[in-house]
Amino acid sequence: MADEIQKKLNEAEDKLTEVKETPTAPDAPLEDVQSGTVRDARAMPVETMPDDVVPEAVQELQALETPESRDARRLQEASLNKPIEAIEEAIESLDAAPGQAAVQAEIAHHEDAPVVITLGARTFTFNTNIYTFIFAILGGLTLLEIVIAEIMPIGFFRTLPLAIASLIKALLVMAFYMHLREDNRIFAAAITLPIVIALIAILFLLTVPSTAYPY
Amino acid sequence: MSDIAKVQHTAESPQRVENVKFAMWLYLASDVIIFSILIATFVLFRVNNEEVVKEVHEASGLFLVSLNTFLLLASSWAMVMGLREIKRDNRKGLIRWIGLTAVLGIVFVALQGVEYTILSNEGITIYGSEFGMRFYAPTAFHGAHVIIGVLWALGVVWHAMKGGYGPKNYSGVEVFGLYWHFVDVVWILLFTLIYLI
Amino acid sequence: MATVTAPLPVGVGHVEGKKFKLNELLRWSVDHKIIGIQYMMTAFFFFIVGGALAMMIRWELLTPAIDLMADGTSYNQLFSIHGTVMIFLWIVPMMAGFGNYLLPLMLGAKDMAFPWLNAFAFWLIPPAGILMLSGFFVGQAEAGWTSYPPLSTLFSGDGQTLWAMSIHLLGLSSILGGINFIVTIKNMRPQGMGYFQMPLFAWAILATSIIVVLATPFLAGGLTLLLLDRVAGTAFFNPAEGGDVLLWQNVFWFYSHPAVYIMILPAFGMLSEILSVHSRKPIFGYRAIALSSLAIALVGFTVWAHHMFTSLTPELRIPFMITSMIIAVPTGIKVFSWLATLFGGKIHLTSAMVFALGFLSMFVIGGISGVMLGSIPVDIHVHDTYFVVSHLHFVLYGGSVFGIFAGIYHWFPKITGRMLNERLGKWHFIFTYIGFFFTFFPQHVVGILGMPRRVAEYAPEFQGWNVLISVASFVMGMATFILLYNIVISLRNGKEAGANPWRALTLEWQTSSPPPAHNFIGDPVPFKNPYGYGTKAAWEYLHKQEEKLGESVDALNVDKPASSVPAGD
Repeated sequence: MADEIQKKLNEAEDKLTEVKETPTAPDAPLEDVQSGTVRDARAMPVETMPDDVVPEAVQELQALETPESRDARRLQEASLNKPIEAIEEAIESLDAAPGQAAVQAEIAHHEDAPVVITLGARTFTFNTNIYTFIFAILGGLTLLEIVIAEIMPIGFFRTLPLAIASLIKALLVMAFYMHLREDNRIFAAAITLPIVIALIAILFLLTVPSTAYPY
Repeated sequence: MSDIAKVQHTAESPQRVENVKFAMWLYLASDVIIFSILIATFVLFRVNNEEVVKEVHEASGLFLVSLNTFLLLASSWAMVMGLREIKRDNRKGLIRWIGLTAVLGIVFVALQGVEYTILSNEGITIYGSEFGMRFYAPTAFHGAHVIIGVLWALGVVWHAMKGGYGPKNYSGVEVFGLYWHFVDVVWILLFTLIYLI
Repeated sequence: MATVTAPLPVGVGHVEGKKFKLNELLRWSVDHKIIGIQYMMTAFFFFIVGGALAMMIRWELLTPAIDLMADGTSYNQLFSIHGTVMIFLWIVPMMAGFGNYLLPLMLGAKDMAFPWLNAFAFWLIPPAGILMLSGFFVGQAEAGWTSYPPLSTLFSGDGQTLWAMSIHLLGLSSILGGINFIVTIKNMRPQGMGYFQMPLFAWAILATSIIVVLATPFLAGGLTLLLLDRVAGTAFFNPAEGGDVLLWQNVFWFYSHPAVYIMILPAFGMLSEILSVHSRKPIFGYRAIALSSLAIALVGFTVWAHHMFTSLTPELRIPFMITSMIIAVPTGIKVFSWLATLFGGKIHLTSAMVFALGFLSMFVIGGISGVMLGSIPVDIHVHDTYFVVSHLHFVLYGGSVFGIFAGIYHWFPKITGRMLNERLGKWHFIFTYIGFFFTFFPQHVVGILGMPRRVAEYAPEFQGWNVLISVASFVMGMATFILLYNIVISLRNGKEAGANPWRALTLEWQTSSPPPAHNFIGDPVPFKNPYGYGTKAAWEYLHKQEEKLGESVDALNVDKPASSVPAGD
């Protein structure tokens, strides 16, 4: 029994792989497709549809249209479609992200070379890898923060530099240590969206009058 | 043993690597939201009760927590250096650096425990003070993340000592790195927000 | 982008899959199909539990006085657990079950991206359900499914703590599932299927998962604070000790407003499939439906405060009224697209289709009452009345649950290999539809007349309405057993379905029913337009499929001439 089923499965598999390997064969299902992709189907003008497919009401409307007004309508429709097509392309471009191998090559290229910084005409070369260099910056910024916190009084001019410094530190870690700089863009998108939503939430909570009161 | 030996010489499927990294980023995305709620409770309090926060800070001092911050930054650096070593097929380097990460994480947790003890001796407890509950919730939640991270780091070290990972097979280290750096980023923000501002 | 190379651990999954084995469903398995069925069966069990609670609520409300319950507290426990079970243990896991079963099949993949994680996410649900129900033994939660403090912090019994832990587990399960869905959709589509060639159900699952990953942690954060308040003695939500009672409401609705889209978006996706297949016509406005799902997911994050119009300062209400009105727009786009899909199509009134049409009609009523509630003056008048109850049930029962029923009738042949009995399906629909309408539509009226929700005793002049509502609800409750009976007898005696009884073009029908262990034999070739019905190419594609996979039952009564395109295909 099991053998028979296995045999049938094998036969079915053979048939399916046959079709898959020769997609250009004249009887392959993907050929001779009137509306191959969704986009093709959209592009297919209504007039080329067989008459029995076009509903009568649509036919009546078509009869009322002159060629000029039809062209104008087409143009208008095309311009209305543009923003949506831009979104569509942006989403589809997620698939075109660099492959894993390319990303790794890029990261390896960065992490072995000495750090070179060009400021105007002058060039500074640090004979260390990028991670240690970033670590030095992080440490320096932390020291700076502590100094600011110790000497400045509480207020706007203490909060602002502290906030900026800590944001820079966080961004440095994410960009270099977490490789967001070279890696797939969708990772950056995945972490940005919740940050935006969380900021909306926190800012809203700050505007709501608190029900807490000192007693 | 033989399975692991086989694994380290064969490259991982790039799709698997991509899947695991993307999943980790999505997990971190959801973690951002949880932290944001806990941080929000503190920020709301801080905005409305400047003086209370100031008094607490003057009582507790900055030295211990600054030391802790440097430890966590250093552990993050050690983490990324370990990843760099395994890419160059240096498993010993990996074990050393990730081991350092774990040790720094343990010291961080221990020092946080010391700090909590000092604070609760001064009467700032999670159930007894308005400042306390809003201070302990986010920092302890972060501390829990560090503890999980330390355990994970030890797991990575153990796996590496058994001969796991290789220059084409290090997504386990990389994903742990993402988690650990994220914990570091959260601390960078918490440190500034809770202790400095 | 990448081809289908998900590694399945060796030695798991059923090999042939023709039989529907119960003991396989009770074991740990990493096969997405088994996990999907596990989700659905668990969810259906809790549907019966929640339904029984609802029946008790309606029994209590037959008379204006308290008679069935001992006191108001036990009535509070009833509706609290009814709401929580129905939302967190029925609709959300049921949708996850459909997603689990169908998504890899629709994408032509062998399994989800992380099979083990998938199984883990499922196995969090039964313990969570047990925790939730065991609260009845220690003083069940009685603060409603929204659990506003101080009801949930200072008054409720220990069941409330179990309730919070249970929701925590369910939230974790959802998040893990959502991560799995997103990664699967992004990385495991077959060659030649771009984002805009995916079936719309996959789009719906994508949008849902984005919400799950980004919104559920809000609830997790809030529940953590709630648990601390109950267990560790903090006072985050207690103004008397320096807490903020509004914080919970905000945090809860940060999650729960997006969560209503978690519950309805997968049903939207199923509807897009079912309407197109059963009216043999390409879906109208593919891009519009796909992108409006994403728009709903994103705009859904900006409307939460319309649940709190009565607790906010007046100037904060207006922006949320505006965003609430805005979010009706993408939903309207979907509804009009579906109507345009039906227009001129060859409609087959199968059980799946009648439920889908029932969804359309009832959901529109729910949507309209939603817009009414979104406008501040109406909301202030009817808040906390049966009008709100009615709106919620029109979108969740008339929407999500009708969608689930339609999905069951549509995909049952794929899951089990047998057709459901159509005649019983029609009776199920008739009783459900009539019972549903007369249960919930009169609630609009009593709501406007001023009957408050969540009370066991009410003014005697509402009794006439309430008797009508209760009787109708009993009819609706009984109708569910028609479905259960149908499932049981069809599993034994139903017609053999064959691979593709509905002659659908999406990939899940491109394999035997039920599918073999790794879903497909060889890599399936997707038809480029998943909704290209009524074209010659589609007919040829289906013809070839039939040659390869064998004849299916002719469920749509399609006359199949050999050389020409039949009218309906």
